[in-house]
Amino acid sequence: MHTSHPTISTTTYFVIFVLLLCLTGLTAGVAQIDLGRLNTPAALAIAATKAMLVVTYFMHLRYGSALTRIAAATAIVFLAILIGVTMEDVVNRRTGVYLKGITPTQSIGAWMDVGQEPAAPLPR
Amino acid sequence: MPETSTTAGAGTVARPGSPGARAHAVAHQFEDAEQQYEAANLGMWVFLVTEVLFFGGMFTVYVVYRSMFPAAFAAGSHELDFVLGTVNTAVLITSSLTMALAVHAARAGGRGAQVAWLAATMALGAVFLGIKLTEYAHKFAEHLVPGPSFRFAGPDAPQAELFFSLYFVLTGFHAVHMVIGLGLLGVLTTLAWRGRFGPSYFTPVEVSGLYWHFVDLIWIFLYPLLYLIDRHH
Repeated sequence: MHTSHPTISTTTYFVIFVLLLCLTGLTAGVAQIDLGRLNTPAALAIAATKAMLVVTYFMHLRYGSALTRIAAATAIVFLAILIGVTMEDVVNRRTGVYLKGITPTQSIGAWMDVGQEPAAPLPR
Repeated sequence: MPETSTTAGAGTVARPGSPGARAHAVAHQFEDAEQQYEAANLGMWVFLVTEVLFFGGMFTVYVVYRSMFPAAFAAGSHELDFVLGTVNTAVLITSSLTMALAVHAARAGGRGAQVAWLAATMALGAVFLGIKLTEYAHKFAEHLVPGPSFRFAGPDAPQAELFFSLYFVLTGFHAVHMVIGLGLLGVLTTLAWRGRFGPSYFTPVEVSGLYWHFVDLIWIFLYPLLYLIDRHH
């Protein structure tokens, strides 16, 4: 039965495991080096690589049906819409009021129009 | 390891009324055991997609506030235990390996190997939760738990409190998923002990494995996003 699901050898699992440990060491090491703005993209790229290894081999998506692969891929699409559209709003917003009692720090001025009058605080 | 499952034809083993005593029945809406397996697999993947969006909402909040308060998030991140976080990442990856080997054993049918790998996975999951609890205890002792007792030196205390809120909610929900996973593994271990899984039927081990690996996936992203912000400073 399950003829369409070839078995992944235990050797493959161990190779993937070692790769995942190496990538964990790599991301921990890279975080100690100052790459400027590239630290977070580097960490995310390594995490994405690890995720691909887990999904492809441990979760057998490599041998999954087309339907299963499409279903899995929708997760990335919807997550991109969720975060992308939200950030579009955040970056282009001008009011400066985001949370009761907390106003943005100076650092937000990098992409906020800081020349505007600060908005009134939220009503209590 | 010999893989007998690849030689048998689909549906010949698990058809209802077949002499295979341990064979699992095929529900009437399915053509054969292969289709039933595919449906179960797809069902778990669809559930995991909804789980991605469940965590995705919290990740979105994280992205929004980290983009607003990068300095506070870095300061908060420095208060987390880098060593324990890294060790826990390795523990969880190892548990993913043992889970994959448990699925492999279930397909091969060796009862002892199934129970051993499932038990090893549970043990590693318990180690992860133990380390997590230790970290939580430290945070309580250091007054870094959001709420009335929160104390944080520096100008960004309210924003750092936001970081710790996200830290506890994200790792907390992750830990809840781990506990559920341990429950699933407990049931699987019992069933494996009774010899329920073999080449003709291993669907529960396979789909529970998917869930367990998913929990590992979430942590793979939580680790850099929470523990590794501006570590070089």
